[in-house]
Amino acid sequence: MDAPEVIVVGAACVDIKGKALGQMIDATSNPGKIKLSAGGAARNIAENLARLGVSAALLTVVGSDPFGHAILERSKVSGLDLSGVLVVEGARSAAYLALLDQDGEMLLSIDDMGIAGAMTPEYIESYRGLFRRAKMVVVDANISSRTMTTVFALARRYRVPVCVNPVSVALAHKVKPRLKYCTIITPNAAEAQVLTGQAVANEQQAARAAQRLLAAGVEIAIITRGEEGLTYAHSDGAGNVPAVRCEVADSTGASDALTAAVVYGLVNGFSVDEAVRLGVSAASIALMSTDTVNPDMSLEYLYETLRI
Amino acid sequence: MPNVVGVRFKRASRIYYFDPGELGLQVSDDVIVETTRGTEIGRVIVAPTQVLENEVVEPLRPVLRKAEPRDLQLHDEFKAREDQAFDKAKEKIAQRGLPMKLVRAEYNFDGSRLTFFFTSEGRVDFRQLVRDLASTFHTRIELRQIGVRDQAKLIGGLGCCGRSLCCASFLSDFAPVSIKMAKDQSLPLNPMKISGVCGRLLCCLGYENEGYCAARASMPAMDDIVNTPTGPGKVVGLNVLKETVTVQLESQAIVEHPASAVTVLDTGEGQRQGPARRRRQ
Repeated sequence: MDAPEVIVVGAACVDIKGKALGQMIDATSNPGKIKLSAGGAARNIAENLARLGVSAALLTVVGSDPFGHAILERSKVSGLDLSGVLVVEGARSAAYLALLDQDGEMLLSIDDMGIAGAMTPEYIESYRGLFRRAKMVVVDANISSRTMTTVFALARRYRVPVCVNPVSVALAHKVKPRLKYCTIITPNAAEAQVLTGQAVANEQQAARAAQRLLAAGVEIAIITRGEEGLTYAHSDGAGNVPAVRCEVADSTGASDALTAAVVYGLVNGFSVDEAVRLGVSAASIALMSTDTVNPDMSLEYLYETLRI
Repeated sequence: MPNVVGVRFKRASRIYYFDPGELGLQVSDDVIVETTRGTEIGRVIVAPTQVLENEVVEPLRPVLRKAEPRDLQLHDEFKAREDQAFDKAKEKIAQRGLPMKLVRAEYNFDGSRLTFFFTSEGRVDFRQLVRDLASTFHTRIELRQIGVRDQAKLIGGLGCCGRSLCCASFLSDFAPVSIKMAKDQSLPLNPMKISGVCGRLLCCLGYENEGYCAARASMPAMDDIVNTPTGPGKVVGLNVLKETVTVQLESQAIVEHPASAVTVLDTGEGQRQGPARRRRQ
């Protein structure tokens, strides 16, 4: 019997994205396109992993409302185990509302992740068996601090590496005191700034921040820097990988695809340098799709986009 | 039945068929043929032969004549000018700041056409460049965007095996290669290990794939529950070349048996989809 190789813990939500057709004007209605898709960092990572052929189990929570059904329905991908998803009767499912400018860059967003509180340490404990057999645990910072502590404790007990996606600047504070438990961390520049307390505005600063994350106990630090690519560091080396040039349809979900591809690489025993390169190519695949997770994501596509 | 002759224009390129007429051609003859892109010089690879009407890809163009010493001399002269044309064109591209990488410049045998092969990540508007080049070289200019695999084929090189690139030495076509082939052959999936110098999956992943698939078809799959001469157990390993199966017995002992000696009791697929998978904490 196959146990899922990766457990992904965190948020699943409905993404509602409005992209302006022209220059956005404040305090008025702007013509544009509105698209609804399933999102949530953990859910996106899990779906990407499944599309890359990695068996993954998603531990998340949804409400019994139409959004909750939509999330579950759209997450049915071969290889993704949804049996652990907690469905809370009468609760409001998580949702994310984003406004994108005409180039697909996010202007601002609101998230309603209140339901994440239903993921208690007890809920995680009840899936202890999964941790025992997993090769990696991925966690996003949407879960409560107590639940995060439980995830780290279980991972430590079963010696499973943990990959952490800080998700946002607001949530990165939650991760900061727990850096020593993070095997891999994938913040963007702003989140890295919160985690390290130093500015991350250019390549040199990102490299310093990555080293600082290593000093705090992280084994592999990957700082994403949008169109400038990423900066990474680990005990055996460090480097930068430039972004793959592509037409950006929507930037949401790029870092989740990146995290998933890095996890895919590391679970399959690739070197860190190769895994981060795959990450960059996965991010470009996500950018080219208006969906949060590109439905065309596959190993073939990933390797095709890869620049060696 | 039509008479055809197979002609190749470049090393390791596709063979094209032409109507030899009454020329009495032999293999290795150099010939001048009419193609969709103008007159070209090529070499006979397949001697004139009769084929069925329905095997001919219409229209069958004629071989104009055997190449004369003068044609070959012209061909050599223009070949010698290609490097210079390449450098000049590279300068022009740099001047215009176009996002393209020039790979090769190629004259046809009589210099009536000069083709530049380039790679680029996106579409390039090269209309102005074509005008520049035409006024520099005073001949018909063609710019052709090629892919990374074509680039490797044009430039040539050595593969990770230490031999000359297959595409540059004998492959006339690029057969599709997939990650599944690497998986079916139990190869590591590291991009660096299974990619060629072009950055795409190695063409040789496909060479033995059929054999592996045929061998695997007669073997149990990973995770199948099988009966072996030493008792029932789960398949934990396959050696396709040796055609042996590694089985973990109920006693946790690991044994290896020839694939022909084990019988499948339950497929791993059935188990994976079954209810037993869920929540066994």
